[in-house]
Amino acid sequence: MAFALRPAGTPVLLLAACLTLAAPRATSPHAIVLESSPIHDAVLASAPELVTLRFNSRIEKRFTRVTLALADQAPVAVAVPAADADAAPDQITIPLGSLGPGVYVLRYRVLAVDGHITEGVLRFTVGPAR
Amino acid sequence: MTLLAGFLDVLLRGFGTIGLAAAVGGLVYLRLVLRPPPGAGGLVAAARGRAVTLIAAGALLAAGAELLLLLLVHPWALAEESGRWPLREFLTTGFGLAGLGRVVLALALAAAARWMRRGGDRAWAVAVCLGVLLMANAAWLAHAVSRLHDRGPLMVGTVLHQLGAVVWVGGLLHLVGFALLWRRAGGPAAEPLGLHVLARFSAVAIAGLVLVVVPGIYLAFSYVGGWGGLVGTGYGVMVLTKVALLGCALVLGGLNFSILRRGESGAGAIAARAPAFIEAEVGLGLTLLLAAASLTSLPPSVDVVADRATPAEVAARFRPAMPRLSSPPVGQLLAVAAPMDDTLAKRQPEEYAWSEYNHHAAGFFVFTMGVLALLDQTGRARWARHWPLGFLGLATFMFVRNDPRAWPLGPAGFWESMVLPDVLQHRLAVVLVVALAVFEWLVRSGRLTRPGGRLVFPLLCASGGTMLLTHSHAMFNLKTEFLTEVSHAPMGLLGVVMAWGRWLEIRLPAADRRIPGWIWAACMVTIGLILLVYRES
Repeated sequence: MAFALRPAGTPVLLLAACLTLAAPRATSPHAIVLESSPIHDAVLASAPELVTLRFNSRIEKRFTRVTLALADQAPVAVAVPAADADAAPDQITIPLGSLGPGVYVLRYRVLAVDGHITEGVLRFTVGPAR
Repeated sequence: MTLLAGFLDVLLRGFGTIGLAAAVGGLVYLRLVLRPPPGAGGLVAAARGRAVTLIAAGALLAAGAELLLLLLVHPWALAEESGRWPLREFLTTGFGLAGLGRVVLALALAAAARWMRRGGDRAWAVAVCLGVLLMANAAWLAHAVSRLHDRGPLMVGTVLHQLGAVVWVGGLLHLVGFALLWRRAGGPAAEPLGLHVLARFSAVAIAGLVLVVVPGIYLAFSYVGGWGGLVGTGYGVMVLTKVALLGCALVLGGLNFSILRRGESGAGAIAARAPAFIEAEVGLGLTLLLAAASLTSLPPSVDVVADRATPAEVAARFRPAMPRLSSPPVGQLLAVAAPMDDTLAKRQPEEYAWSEYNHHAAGFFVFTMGVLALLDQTGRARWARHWPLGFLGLATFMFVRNDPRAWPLGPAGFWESMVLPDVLQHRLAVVLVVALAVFEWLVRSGRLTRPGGRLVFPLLCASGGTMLLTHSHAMFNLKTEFLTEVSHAPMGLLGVVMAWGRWLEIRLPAADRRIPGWIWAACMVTIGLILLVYRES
């Protein structure tokens, strides 16, 4: 028995299904951090007042969003100052306020000048390593 | 949210470039390729009409893809804590303004194409100006604009590289449209025009390829930096993949060129073969454009220093080793695995072992099907034509093992787990593998004879291969993830070659089907072998 199928419709439908499948679990970061202070997984004797991130791309700083979470607590939004004309175009500085001992996870989202959006994470410990 | 937005960004940038190829490449095609010899008849008028339609469609695709990026994907991904989309602020960034520029220029080109239908040099001149502006505007949408050093030369290099790709792939897209008309028209009157157009396209394609390669070498030196970056980073491997795809396309182009030169006295044979080669070449070209869009989402190799893998570490991932014959018990896996949404969690040895076993078992299925497909090609084992049924075994295995946290192995119910994106993707993949089995088995057993049905298998293989090439998982552990997925690039490449090999086997005259038939079956065997030696640790 021969099956009657529309010549173009079926492949196109299956292609569309295939594209749906391509939705990724994660995507690679386009703008990567070349240098940070503190470094990822640093163990610090005293709390840092600032976190500095230097990227491999120019950043549209006004779209930067940062949250900070202590251990298992809910993340808190951190205000990032408006762009400073004198600051390097690839660098963002995040004031932290006073932090107590503990493991902190700082999550950031930046927009590169070429329109790519990147999320990243920086973890550091204040006080003795656990 | 950013993860899905990143994927949509790659896809829409890829579609935008394809639209640009059809539009701007179409202008070059119309001016330099589709110049009819004296006495050419109605076929030329039909071909010109089709080309103008494709130029307008390409311009609309480029505008539409850019609009979706500007108005939907980016503002959504940049949403504030309150949920507000910063649309107006985003549109005033350099990228936003350049994107709006592309939309306006592309829409104007679509309108100019409509004007061109009525003829006239003025419409043509306006369209060319818009095409030039569209290409220049691309410099402000490329990665080069965000670089700190050598920004200007890199922007110029990128535009020239893209112009070459647009001329070549766009010309091929238009040539497919022409070849279909040519094939349909048939007859002795159509033959000289077909040969004339193909010969002119060869010259334009060579010029386009020179433009791709020369600035491409400069860009590769600037962004990759050296051999270490070429093999030890995702960016470098994608550059190698693009080179390999280009090589495959050049082989097809060369074959077309040689039958053109050899067959001047027998153009009927060319009309039967050339369209199939052009279709396969355009498929490879479109994959290249999508791979290029994916490349822009990866950090350039020169910037990846600490997370760079050594050539020895990469080679170790391909070193043959005995496949895993057993898997950790599911209870043991569930006891140590972190929740799926914990992106900072370190993967445990049991998770690596589980995944490796899955890949090795999948490799067993694919390798066996590949060997049976090779046997089928010999024509001496008719029973081997049922090899697509192996996909049903693979689908069953995938359904049971892909998501150990969900039904039937894990605690999460079937419907409950469907809301998890990973699980949904895996189950859709199972449905697609079943579709591969059903369609190809129906074709091989003679139950499905319609041309569209026969093309399902190569189109799905091409999509699958392209997905593997454009889909990267690396996020927080760049080097670890790169090494885990370094085998995806060769498998994706082989999937694409397999797809267009099978396409050629279907579309070429019976006498020419043997070699592509062997090639795609050999690709399937090789994919099976890569899966059998796959390792994550």
